[in-house]
Formats: sequence, C-alpha cells, structure tokens
Amino acid sequence: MNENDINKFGETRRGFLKKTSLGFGAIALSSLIGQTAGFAGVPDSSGLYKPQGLSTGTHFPAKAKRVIYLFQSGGPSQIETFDYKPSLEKWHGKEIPPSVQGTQRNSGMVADQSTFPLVKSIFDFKQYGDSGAWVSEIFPHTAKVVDDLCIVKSMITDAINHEPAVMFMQTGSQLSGRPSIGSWLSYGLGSDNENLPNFVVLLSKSPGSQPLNSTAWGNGFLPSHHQGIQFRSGKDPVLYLNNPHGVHDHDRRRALDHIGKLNEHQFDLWQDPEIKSKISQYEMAYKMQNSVPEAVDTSKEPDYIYELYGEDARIPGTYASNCLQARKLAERDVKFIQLYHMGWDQHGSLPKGIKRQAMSTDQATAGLIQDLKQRGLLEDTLVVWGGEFGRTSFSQGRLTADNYGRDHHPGCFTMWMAGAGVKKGMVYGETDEFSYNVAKDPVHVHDFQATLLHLLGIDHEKLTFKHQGRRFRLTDVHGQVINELLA
Amino acid sequence: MTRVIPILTNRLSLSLFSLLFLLAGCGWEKPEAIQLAYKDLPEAIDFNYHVKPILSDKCFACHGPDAANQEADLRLDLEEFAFASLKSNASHYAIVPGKPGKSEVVSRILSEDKELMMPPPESNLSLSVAEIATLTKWIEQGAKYKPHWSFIKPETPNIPAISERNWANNEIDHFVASKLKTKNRKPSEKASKENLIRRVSFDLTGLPPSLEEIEEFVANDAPEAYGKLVDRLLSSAAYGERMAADWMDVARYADSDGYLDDKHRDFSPYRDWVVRAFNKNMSYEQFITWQLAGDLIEDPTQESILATAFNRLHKKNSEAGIVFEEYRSEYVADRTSTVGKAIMGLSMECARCHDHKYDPISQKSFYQLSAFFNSTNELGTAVYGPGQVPGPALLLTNVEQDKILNYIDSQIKSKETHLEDLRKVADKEVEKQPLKEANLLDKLQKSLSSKLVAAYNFDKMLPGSSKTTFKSPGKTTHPGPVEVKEPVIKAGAKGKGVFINDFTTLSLPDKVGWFDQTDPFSVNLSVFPDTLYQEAVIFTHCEDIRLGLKGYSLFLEDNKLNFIMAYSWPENAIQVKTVAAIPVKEWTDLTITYNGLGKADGVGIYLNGEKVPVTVSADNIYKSILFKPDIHTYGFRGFVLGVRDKMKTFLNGGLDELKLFDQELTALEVLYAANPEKARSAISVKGDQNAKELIADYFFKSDHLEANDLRKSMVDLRKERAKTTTDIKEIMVMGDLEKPRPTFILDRGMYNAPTEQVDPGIPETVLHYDEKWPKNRLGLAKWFFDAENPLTARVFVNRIWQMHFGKGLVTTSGDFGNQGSMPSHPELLDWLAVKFRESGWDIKKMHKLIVMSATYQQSSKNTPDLLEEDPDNLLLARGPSFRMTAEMVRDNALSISGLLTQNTDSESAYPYQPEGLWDEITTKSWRYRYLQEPGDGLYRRSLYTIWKRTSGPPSMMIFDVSDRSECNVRRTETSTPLQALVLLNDPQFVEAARVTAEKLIKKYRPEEQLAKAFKLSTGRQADAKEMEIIQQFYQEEEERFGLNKRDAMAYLSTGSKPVDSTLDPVRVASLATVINGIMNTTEGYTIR
Repeated sequence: MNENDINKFGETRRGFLKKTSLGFGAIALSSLIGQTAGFAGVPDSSGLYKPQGLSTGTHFPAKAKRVIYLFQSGGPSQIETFDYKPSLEKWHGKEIPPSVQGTQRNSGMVADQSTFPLVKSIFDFKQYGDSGAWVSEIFPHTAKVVDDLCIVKSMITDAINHEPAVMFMQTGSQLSGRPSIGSWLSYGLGSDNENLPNFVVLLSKSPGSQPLNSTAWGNGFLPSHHQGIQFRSGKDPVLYLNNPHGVHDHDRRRALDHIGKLNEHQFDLWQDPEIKSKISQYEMAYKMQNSVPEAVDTSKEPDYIYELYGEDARIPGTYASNCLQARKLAERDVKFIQLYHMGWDQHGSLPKGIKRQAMSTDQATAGLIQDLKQRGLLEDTLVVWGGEFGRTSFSQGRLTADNYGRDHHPGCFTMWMAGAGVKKGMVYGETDEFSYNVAKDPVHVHDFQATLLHLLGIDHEKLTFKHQGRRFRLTDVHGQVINELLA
Repeated sequence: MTRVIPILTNRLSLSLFSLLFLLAGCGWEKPEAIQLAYKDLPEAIDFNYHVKPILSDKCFACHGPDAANQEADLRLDLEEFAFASLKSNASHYAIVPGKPGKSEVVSRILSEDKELMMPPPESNLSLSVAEIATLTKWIEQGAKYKPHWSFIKPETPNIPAISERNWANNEIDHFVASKLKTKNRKPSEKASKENLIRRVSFDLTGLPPSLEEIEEFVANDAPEAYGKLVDRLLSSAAYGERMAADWMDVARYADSDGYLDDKHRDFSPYRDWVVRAFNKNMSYEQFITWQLAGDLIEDPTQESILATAFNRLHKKNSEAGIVFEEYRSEYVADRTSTVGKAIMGLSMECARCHDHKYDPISQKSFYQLSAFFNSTNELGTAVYGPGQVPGPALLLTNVEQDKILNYIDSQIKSKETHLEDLRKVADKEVEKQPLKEANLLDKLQKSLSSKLVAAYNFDKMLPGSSKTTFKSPGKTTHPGPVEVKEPVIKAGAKGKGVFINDFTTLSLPDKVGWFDQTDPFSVNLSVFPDTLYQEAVIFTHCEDIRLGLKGYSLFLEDNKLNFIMAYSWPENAIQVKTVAAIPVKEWTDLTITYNGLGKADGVGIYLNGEKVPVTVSADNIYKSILFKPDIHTYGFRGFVLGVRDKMKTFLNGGLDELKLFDQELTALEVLYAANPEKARSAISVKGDQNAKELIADYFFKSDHLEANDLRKSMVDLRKERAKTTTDIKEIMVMGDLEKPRPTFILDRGMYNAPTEQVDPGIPETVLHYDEKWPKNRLGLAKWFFDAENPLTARVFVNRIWQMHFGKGLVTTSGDFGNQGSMPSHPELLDWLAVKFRESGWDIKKMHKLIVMSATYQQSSKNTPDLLEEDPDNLLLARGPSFRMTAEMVRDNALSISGLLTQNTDSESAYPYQPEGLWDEITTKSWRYRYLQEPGDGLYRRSLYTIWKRTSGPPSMMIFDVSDRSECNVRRTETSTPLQALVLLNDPQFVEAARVTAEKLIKKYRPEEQLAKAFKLSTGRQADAKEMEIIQQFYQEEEERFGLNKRDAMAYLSTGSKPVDSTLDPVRVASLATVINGIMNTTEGYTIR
C-alpha cells in the first residue's frame, strides 16, 4: 500500500479504516518489514499520461479543466501596465518618503544609490470596458478584453532576485529543485489526453533577456513523468520525437510490433511487471509521435486567426506563435500549458524596453483570450498572466525627462487571470499611492497558488507528496484561497 | 482542556457501550477489529521497528522533537514526557505502560469525536487499524522506549545457523536465508552464467561484458572463475568511473554555477580525483576525510586539498542584485545538508529553519554543524572572470610547473638575500658621506619628477564631448586629460578640486595607471571626506566585484583607507587597511606606495607624508591582475574615480591633486612631495636616527645601481612567475579564515536574523564529540570515523548494497532518521557495517563480499506468488534486477558498438545533444555555446558529459539522473514514453546500432550475425522464439531497404562516425534496425 496514494485519493478517515481492514495481510507484512514509514521518493511505476492521482475525482468540483499560464519573465512593471498611479504625478522626481519605503528590502543593484526619486509612468492610462479598469496605452489590445480579466493589483512575493522569484512563483519555494505547478497538477489530476504530455512548456524571448532555468518546469521530487515537456519550434517539437532518417511511420510501427513481441516473450521469461509497463510506454511514445506534430502544426490556421494574434504568430518561436500554439494544446486537453516570455527586466531605459515588450506580446495575449472565448474554451480554461515580481516606484539610475529605470520590487505587483471560475471585469486589491506597498487585500504568491489549485478542484492542503520524510505541498505551510476572485 | 469521555459511534464493528464501559473502567478489552488485527502483529512489539515509524509519521509533527511546535505541551518521542502526567490534566497520562485503558493516547486514537480524535482530521493524517493495534499492543506490553535504531552503535550480531548451508557462500546468505525461513521461503536458483557476468560487470564497471568475455566465462567451469572475474572487474579502470558516476550525484557535481547566469566552471580535476580515489581503493575514511578536510590534515598535498572541492560544488549565484551574505549563508547551509545526507544519512535541512519535526536534530545542532563550514573566505557572489575562482583556490600545477615555480622562487630568494646584504653595506656608506641638505632636496625633486607618469590638479576644466563632460588637462605632457563627467567644482586642496555627486566620474586616459601586481607603483591624491563613510570608493583600476575586483583599488571603510590589489578578492588578494580613520571635512594628502614584490608588506600608506600603521587582511597574490578582455568581462574602465555601479559612492567628497608614479616612492620622497618644508627639517636634524634611515632608504632605493639592477631582475622574475601561474588552472577548494567566522542560529533560516551564537558541534544524540578532536573539519572527520559512530559505516555500506540490489537494506538511503524506512535485514546491515569498519573501510572488499554472496547470485526471475507477497524484493528471495542507470544506458550502446573511447581529456565532453537547447533559455551575448565534439570526444563515458545546471544533458535527464542542484544519494526509477523516444531516435543510439552492425558483418558469417547481435545487445543467447522474431524482423528490413536503397543510405547517415563504404548498405541498415530494436526491448536496458 503506497501511502502517497492515500493522500492522493483524499479518502475519509473512516473510508480508509474500512479499506485497510480489508487489506490486512499487506499492512501486517509491511509493518513487519518496516515499511510503514519511508516511501520517500518511490515513484509509482504506472505509465505516463494515464489517469492517476486523484482518480476518484477532485476534492471538489473543478471550475477549470486546464491552465494556460503566460509567464512574463523578468518582472513587468506594474506602474507602466495596470497599476495606474496619478498620485505619482505630484511626487515625480521627489525622494520616496522613508515611511513609504519602510523595511522593504532593495536589491543589491540600488544599494549604492544615494537618491531614490519617484517616477510616474511615462505612458498614459485610460479606463476601459464596463468594468472601467485602468490600462496603460502600451496594452491597447489587452484593454479591449479587460471585461474578461480578473486583475489582481495586490500581489506580494518573498523574493527579490530573478531566479528565486521565478522558482517561488512556479514551485512555491525559492530554491530550485521543487516540483512546479504544472507537475503538481499532473501528479494530482492525471491527464485528459493520453497522446500528449500533461504539462507542456513553450519559450520565447527578447534580446538581452535574463536567462531561465529549466528546473522551473521540473518535476522536483515527483516522478519524472510529471515534468514539463518543452515543445520547441522547429522540426523536432519534442526532443527525440522524430524517427531517424530512412525510417517511415510504417517502418516504425513494424519495428514496435517486433519489439512488442520480444517484450512479451521476455515477460514470459521473467514475469517482471515492469516489462508490461514498458510495453505501454512504447505504445504511448508512438502515439505521441503521431499526435504532437499535428498538435503543433499551425500552418492550416485561417488568416483571421493571424489577424487576431498578430502577424508574429506566423513566425515559429515568437510569443504570438506560442499563444496560438497554446490554444491548440488547450483544445486537445493538455492540462497545463506554460509559456515563458523573457525580457521584462527593465532596470534602465524602461520606457523603450517595456514598450517593445508590450508590442511583442499585447496583441497575442488579447488574441488568445478572444480566440478561447469564441471557441467556448474560456469557460473551462484558466488563463494567467504575470511575472515574478513588480518594480520599484523610484528610479533606478538617472531620472531624465524621457528615461528612467526601475529595480526589482517584491512588495507589490500585478497579475491577472481570465476564464474558468474567476470573476470577469474584476479588479482586486489596491496599492498605496506610490504603488510601493499593498494597501488593501494582499494576495501572496502562496494565496495565488492555493486559488489556482482550488479552481482546478484541488484543496492545496491535501495535495501532498512525501519526500525525505516530510509531506510537501505546493504552498508549503501557507496559502489561502482568495474567495473574492472566484466567480 | 476538560476531559470528555469519548463518544464513539458507528466505529467498525464495535459495540459503543461496551467500549465506553471498558475505557471508563480500569480494564482494557480491545475493540473487535483491533483484536482481529492482533493476530497479524508480531509477538513482541518493538519500539524502533514497529511503533516509532507510526508515531513519527503520524504524531511527531505536533508531538515530536520540535520544541517550538509541541501541541498541548506533549511530546511522545521520549518516555519521560510521554509517561508524565498531562499538562492539561494532571490526573491523566498520555501513556501508562501496561495499561492501554488508562492511556489517553489510546482513547484518542480510537475516538470518533472530531474534537478529540488523533490525529485530528485537519491534519489529513489517519491511522490504520493495524497501526492502532500496534500502538495498543505496545502499551499493553509495557510501552518500552528505545533510542532510535540507527543511533545505536552496530555490534556484530550472531550469524544465524541455517539449513541451506550448501547454498550459502558467506555470512550475508545466513542472514538472508534465516529471514526467508520465517516466511517459509527458499532462495531462488542461481542465475545463469550469462546473466551473472552481465550483472556483475554492470554493477562493478557500468559496462557490459564483451562477447568474448561472456563466452569465456560461460565455458569456464572452474569453481574460482567467478571470483577471478570479480577481481578483474574491481581492478579495471572502469570500476572507478562507475563508482564516480554514483558519487557525482552525492557531490552535486556540475560544470556550471547554477542560478540564472549559470556561468561555467571547470571542476573536472575533482571528478578525476574521485575516479582515481576509487581505483586506488582509497579507504572510505581517507576518501571522506580528504574531501572534508584535505587542507587540514598533516602535510596536505595537492591531491588532498583538491578533494575538498567537494564542499564547493554547491550552486553559486552571480545575479547582480543579490545580497551577498544571503547567498553565502545559502552555501554554508548546502554544505551542512550535503554532509548530513551524504555521510550521516540524515536530512538536516529541515532543522535549518526550526527544530527537526521527526528527528532529534535541533535547529541549534544544524547551526553547530554548519559552523564547521562557515569560515570559507568567500563572498556570496560567484566570481567568474576568465580563470577566476571565488574563495580559496588551488593552483593545479603539474610536476613540470612545480619545478619552474620552485626554481623562480629560489632565484628570487637569493636575490632578496643579496639585496639585504647590499643594504647593510650601503647604509654604512651613506652615513660616511653625508650630503648637503640643498643638494638632497634638489635630488628629491628630480627623482620625483622622473618617477611621475601622470599628474592632474583639476584646476582647469575644458569643454568635453557633451554639455556635462569636461577635460581636465594633465600637468605632465604625455598622458592626455582626465575626462570628467558632471563634476561639482569647489575649492580644492590646492586651487580647485572635484566633488562627487551621484553622477560624477573621472576617467584617466587609456593605460594610465596600467600596473600589474609585479610592477612597483605609487598613487598620490588629496581627498576631502564629507562625512564618515561606512563604505565608499576612492579610486579603482579594477573590474567589477563579480570579477573579483581584479586590479587595484582604494576604498574608505569607516573612513579608514582600504587598499586592495586582487586577482580574485577576498582570497587571492593583498588587502591593507589603515588603523586610523582620516578626518572628516578636511583635505588629507594620501599616498599608496607598492614595491612590486607581491607582498602586503610591500605596500605603504602615507597620510600627509607620514607613514601610518596598517592591518593586513589578505596577503595571497600570484597571478597577473591586468585586465584581459573576455566575453564575461564588462570591458575595462581604466583608472577611474567617483561613481561606479555596485560600489558605494564617495558622495559629496572632494578629490584633488592626483599623481601616479611608476616606481615605489620612498618615505622621504613621499614626505617631500606632501610637505617639502617638513622634509627639509626632518633631514636637517643632525644625528637623528629617523633622518638617517629616511636618507639611507632613499639612496638605496633610488641611487644604488647594483640594487636597482637586482630589483629589476626580481621584478622580471616575478613577472615570469605570474606569467607561469596565470595560465595554470585553479579550482575552488576549502580553506578557513585564520579567525573562524562566528556562527549564529538564524531565525527561520534567514541570513539577516541571527540569534544565539554557536560553536562548531554535532548532534550529540548521534555520538558525543570527543574533546581531543580539534573543533574544525578535520575533527569532524574524526568524529565520523570514530569506532563508536553509529551512522557512518551503516550509511555507506547501505549505499554499496543499493548499487548492487537497486535499493538499500534501508530503502531510504538518504534518511536514516525516524521518517526513514527500517532496515529490511537489520542484523545483516549491522554485520556489514562492522565488517566495513573493521576492514579499514575497504570499499572494494565490501563490493566483493556482496557480489560473492549466493544472495546476489540468485536468478531474478519472478514467480506470481513471490510477486504478490514481496513485489519489491525486500525479502531477497530472488536476485536483483533493475533498469540501467542513465550513464549505463548510453555507455552500454557505446561499448557494444566499440565506439567507446578511453578518457583522454579531463574537461567535460560535449556529446550529441539536440541543437539549440542552451540558446533557448538565454539571449545573453556571453552565453555558452554547445559545441559538439568533433571526434572521439563524442564517445567518452557519460560520466564525463558536460553538466550545465540550468539545462542538464537531456537524454540522461529522461533516464532519471539527479538534477545536481543538491546532494542526492538515490535516484528514482521512472518509466516514460520519452525514454522510448531516446532509445529509438537519439542519434547516439542510432549510430551505435549502425556501427555495431558494421562490426558484426565484418566479423561473423551472415548466418551468425543475428544471434551475435542479440547476444551482444542482451548478454545472452536468443532462444528459438526470439530468433524467429528477429529473423522475420531482419527479412522485412532487408526487403524494404532493398526496395529503397536511399532509405538505407539515409538510415546509415546518422552520426559522425564515417560509414564503412565497403559494406552493403542494405545489409548494414537492416541489421542496424534490428539491433536498435533489440536494444529497445527490456533486456537491452535492464540488469537481470
């Protein structure tokens, strides 16, 4: 009896007692040979992409069947995007008051700076939609879908440097090596599509961006089939997916049949159940070889789709192309589709840098929302947009008439969600007049993660995995579902 | 809390009223289900083996060793607390030995009342009936506590007598057979010879046996044939590589720093050391002692110090905005956790933030252990310039280089002695012929001018390239003007001076001040501090701190002058600081002089012409500190003053009268330059000893031709020495500060929340630290290898076992604590542990002992009933069987094809990897390129594959290699479709199949080839059925390739190894696809 299953099944105490009383032999044996504790890190040997985990269902009805997470890596400034601060006009160029700065830490990059002049957004803001949410002029397309968004302006994180902050956002721990959200969901919910990975990762970037660490989509201590599988632009969308030269699909099929026969024979010889598992892995590999190319092929999309996502969507590897790809994967019931777009780290020359970032993402982001909506997919797909932290309201480096920079700022930042289970046209939380501290309704990263799991029908306190003697969860020992965000 | 009689409803098949009655009364009658469960429990319930696993897993989170989190003030891990009367109700007891009915624990675990039941419903934990029964039976039997099993020193147990004496080869088999007997089981038959040679070859060398080796072994009926085979494998060079591959996970070996920048860093000399150590069969004691404290042992050698790189293999952050101390404390914690897990088998990391929830490891003991590793002279940032190493570094000289360096050193030494002798004579000469004062002053003026290379008084600011940029001309003619940005001009020390605002910079022309640590030079400058600066930069001729401040620079620290000359600060550097601070709001004339001899005592600091006392905090420089362009540097700024990013600005401070000299100024020259009048009066005092010395020193250093020649040749020698060392590789190693850095308990593990100060120490619950051991890493090693230490031998011997059986006798090989699993064969583990220690920690001996056992040599065939009763083979009623490790999977393919090359190069290899992976995660201009090996380098063993932490080797990652972010002692084994894709499509495997096919076609007759192919790929003869399948497979392939020869050519084109054009491509391709197919059956990648 693997006790990971007990937690995964989330059974009641009584049900569990009854169940174990039936399977007494096994328990007695395990207690004799000392297996009561210590299943640390023992993976299940069942195959990838089979429904597993909470196979009796979720903890409660799920609003979202899948997630598209548009990770804006580098830390987009909240002040130039969604957190409209007219109050900064009058503070522009003036020193940030110590009372505002409080005990919030600065990164080592401004530690030698002797002045901290506040700086207003160089971009204009307007209110949009029925909700009247304020959106910056750099996001004209996002502004159009604002009534579908649930904007959270009061995000808080613990980390101030890129990697720890990305890890924290994606895995609930600042240290690399823990399972990421997608892995937790794969482990907890299993798959709805046996032919595609459960957790797919798509990357795009701008010149000079901060790098990424691939362990951000790693499985950590969860079995490795829960890791994010990167879909790459180009001829080999999944590593090693293509047959070698000179091997056609029917040749591969034939070879697999022979391999299968040999494996069956080996099973007869050794009676090793692992052989059966391998046989099914090979069949799944074959299915993937056939279904992935079809799933990633956007060449047959009609022109109006490219008008929606923008012309960039025709260029493989761009953010826009990845957004379109994400929709295709959502249609095929991939559970967790994780995009990373690098390049939001504007320490200096922020006005130019963030505008360029916005131009390369805005239309596709909005296009994705509209596309999901017109296909009815937005009803059970959760879309998340956000980075790893916000940026300071004071300038990093010199403030001039048309130029400034902003440093990392964990104290407040903006994210949004859209689609399944979240309120539409919602703006939640407030920052102070400087956009430096959260003034109302803080949402900590762990709260965000708890809410995300909740939308997928998972109680974040119950989805655990025992490793090194301890039961780990995505939210560590923290996190509260923010009910106000739920539709 | 008031006592509420539990109300039980609907509980199993139990009568509510009878239980109520029973519990309320003194007697104890078990509920029916519990009664039922009793018959499956062992007769005597043992605390360690039966009870504690339950308590630990289900109760200790709230009632365990963590002092800060004990609910209801109750802890159940120690009997004195569990038997005491309850804090909440003094007349009740958690446990009353022998009386379950009176024990609160029993009523709580049986309770159905949500308010009372334990574990509480919100904990998400529950007890099974068997677990409840175990606890009640234990209390019934007297609730006897014992120390944790793994903390009790292992003693040699009695060897059990067994009936299968003919079967047993050694003591191991006695323990195994006696356990099997309790289950009415017998060992399996012996594995076939084919299986055996394959199994033991992979286990000991990570490589398959060759066809010849298999055939020879199978044909050899001599009883000692197997033993000889084992000896041969243990003495092969491949053994060390196999063992090292395992140790790389433990050591979290990588070729890059990790974190976002993930700068590359060559640690391969350490890897080579590990291979050598295993091949030499270094004792485990020495192996660990060197890695922990190879720098502290008596007569340390390059090899012993190199071993300490083990503790520097943690990740290193080079992100610009980090707080260094935060990451330095991260590295210390990593070393602590690594040592805890690797050597002690305990998961220490929990105790970093709070007392361990399950094990008797307090937060304090974590920090005590960390104190052993807290004195490395390093920063929290990675230092990553070309060849630069953060913190203590070991220069990896070879014998030849050692000779050269020793020769140069002896030359320098003899010239030094010669110089001293000259000096004695010269001093007397000077005294004999006193100079006229006026002549001397004139001479001083001249010598100062001759040494001067640049001088700026900042009195004139000419227009520069922009509105805010000016040019301040120099006083000497050759160097151009200083470029000054946004100066604040005020009255200076003389005339005008430049004051610093947030944006002021002063840059000297290119190459002015271009001095190496082998050059004598001096800098003279007037400064006006506006305030008391905790830290501020005065001038720099150096690189960024993430490039180790390479160069020279002057800072203020609490207004004391802090002069640094560095290759990689703070370790490879000279650092000299004045004892006294310079005054605020007045001009001070300061001079730094340096004699070019690479020692801190060659640095002089003068304030207003007077030499001042200094302290030395670093005196270790040998490489050239001159800037060398590289993609990882940020370009060089030359000699600059004023604002510099990531350094504290000398805000509102003033600078004036800058002079640079290309010689070491003597004290008299400095005094004269600062204050001619004072110099005049100093030398005019007749018979004054001080004056005599000033003058003598001046003459000896300026006028003495022979001495000048000697000094010049010493500089040349030192330049030669620096040139030699600069090209020699260095590696990060351990080395402690002279004065240990104080260690504090960090609240919640936060670097900035120190609380109580602690001394180095160990968890006393494991074993007391003998006072005779030094309180350093060497002492810690002695503690690990003390005969009384209960963990060290058990933990490692268990891992050796794991290498042979796929899992340890303790399956949680990284956790020997309360939450770890109990040993399946406790006596066997103890016997092996004692044997290992008594053998002198002989690793090869333990391998041999295990593989010689009959237990190991059993067939791994399953039977349905064995599978049902013991799916994980914990009883060892059959032989081991598991999937090959990631390294073995690839090395196997390389080996059977003959592609495998012997390791010839130490640095990591770049085998096939899908294109573009490294480019996808970064766009940095300095990014590292994956440049696939051109030739034989492609085919080195997987142990040597480049390990980039943010993008690990993909095919190995798919086969469950650990991610090297932290110490790992056991890999998980998963089964995924991606593994199938690797084996079917990765060019490495396709190429290997093709080369194997070519080899077989050339060597064997056509009718033999398929059988040989099968045997080579699986290690055994194909049976009739298998032959039938592969023959049909081959015929189909031959037919289709025959019809389409281009497909055959295409298939053969994969890989760098040239195709053998003398062979028929159709035949090669056909055989190759069949071989690839066989390699894709479980026999191809499973050790049976």
